[in-house]
Amino acid sequence: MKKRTTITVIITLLLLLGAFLFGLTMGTYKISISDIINAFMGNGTKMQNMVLFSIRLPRIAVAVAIGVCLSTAGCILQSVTRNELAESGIIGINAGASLAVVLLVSYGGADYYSSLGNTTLYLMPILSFVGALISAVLVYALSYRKGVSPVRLILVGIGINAGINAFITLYHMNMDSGSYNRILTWTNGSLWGSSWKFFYLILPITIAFVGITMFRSKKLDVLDLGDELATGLGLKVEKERRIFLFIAVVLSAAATAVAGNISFLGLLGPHIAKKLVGPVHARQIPVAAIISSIIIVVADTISKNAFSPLEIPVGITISIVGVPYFIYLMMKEKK
Amino acid sequence: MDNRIESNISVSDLQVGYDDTIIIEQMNLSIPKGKITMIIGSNGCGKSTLLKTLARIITPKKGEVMINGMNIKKQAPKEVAKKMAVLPQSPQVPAGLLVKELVSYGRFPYQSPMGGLKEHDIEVVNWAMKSTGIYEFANRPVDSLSGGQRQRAWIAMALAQETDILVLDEPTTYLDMSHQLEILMLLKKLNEEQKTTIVMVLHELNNATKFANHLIGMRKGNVVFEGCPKDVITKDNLRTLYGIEAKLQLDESGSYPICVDFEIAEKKDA
Repeated sequence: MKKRTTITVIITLLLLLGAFLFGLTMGTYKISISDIINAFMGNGTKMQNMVLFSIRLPRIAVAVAIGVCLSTAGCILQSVTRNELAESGIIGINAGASLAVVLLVSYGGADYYSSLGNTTLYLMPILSFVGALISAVLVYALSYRKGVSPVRLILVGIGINAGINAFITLYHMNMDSGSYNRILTWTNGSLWGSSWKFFYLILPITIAFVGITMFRSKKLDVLDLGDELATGLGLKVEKERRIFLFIAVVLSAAATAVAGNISFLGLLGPHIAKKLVGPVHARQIPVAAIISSIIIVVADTISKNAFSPLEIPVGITISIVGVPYFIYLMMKEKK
Repeated sequence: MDNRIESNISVSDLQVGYDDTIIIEQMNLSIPKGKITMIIGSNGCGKSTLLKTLARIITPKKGEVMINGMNIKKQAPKEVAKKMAVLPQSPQVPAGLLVKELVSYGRFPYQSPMGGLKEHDIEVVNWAMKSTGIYEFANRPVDSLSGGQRQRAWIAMALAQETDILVLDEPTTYLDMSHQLEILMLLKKLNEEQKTTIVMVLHELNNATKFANHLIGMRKGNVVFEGCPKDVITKDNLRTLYGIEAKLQLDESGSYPICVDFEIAEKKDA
């Protein structure tokens, strides 16, 4: 298993590098791989440097951070709820974060993103965290009946998700068409306009909370065995479940604050990783993070270029793959 | 009466229930040390509830559960986990988990967050797999094993916990007769070799009389009898316990009773 994990990590990292290069070359302004290498050596033209270091590279860096956050949140949620289908986008956590940001943008100022002041920029992750936490607590409380039943949690989560999205739509209606278009793109999950600012915002949260999760990964392993066995092994199940939910909420909120509501990414990465290296979290979480990063970088590059100059939200591109997979899992679950 | 027999588990003035329903009204009980104790009784008599209370899965409304003379409430969960291993009824296996990984989860109470398995941990894990006869499946996913093999993998995990006490809830459910016997013989071997105190709920009466040193009969949340199978498995006791008229005889060596046939007893009282 160790050898297999090493091989998997090496191959997926190479694929991620490939995705990186794919993302860096593709665009209205094409840059060849040799030019990219040149630019990284410090020999790029002004135009190449601008496109690479101020536009594409930060966007890819943000994408990777988001992939890591949502993927880790997915790993946590699937173990904590013992449900293969749990994912922060599906059970309304991302939607809660989205709603908070929509409220901020619609009350905080007419314009959004780069034109937002720094205060608003730093307020965003905090508010999105509050929004995510409120929806998570709501889902948890409504599905709690002598412990949380996995199926009820998913059903309640989907309901809350729909409810919050209705609210978001309501706010859309009150916006002028400019803000409307932008916020619509954003709520569907978009990396448009990502700059280094966003990367520096999300990076410390990612490192800290993924680190904490890895440090506690054995507890997640034990939680996978069910409440009774976990109790028998000396785990304070309900307390740990809450701590892990909190971590998942922070990670999802950070990702959502930057990129809007991206669903299914937290489902795809962890599942593929589990198939490749098994369900032990010390192996699953890192591999899932790399795979989710590959998916989001490739999906974002496609979103950017497929209908150029129009850009479709990356969340939609991921959903095109994610929805069939989700349905497949649902059908498998029934058996 | 707690001190009459040496015990590692004892409960006093125990009251257990869910919400408003009281399952166990008041119970005092001692589980003898180093013996196999089996709890029997009809469906809904509270035997699983009792077991889950011993295993800390249910918190009692009143009363104390003591393990090796110490209240389980006053000990860190991981410390209790080093004294008592618990195997619930039909536990779930994470898909793709290998046997050796599952068994190594039994080392959880001894491990620090970042540290991997130490030499002693690996020795214990290997020993647990060997003594349950699943060492050859170490590198196979647990969900690819048959029911009997899987149950042995779970027992191996509990053994890896290195405890004096092993608590099992119906470890033979869903197994055919030969595999039931295999599991019970394995538990008996562990009891004899490791002096492990084993407590379990069991449905099959004849397996219980054959393998238990100590039987506890429960009805409506009360202990109606307890003792050595030969002494407590009587026609009267079985009528009280299950409402059956049983035909009993001793096995060939004369050491334990066998229920050879039974009929539903006429109901005199509810």
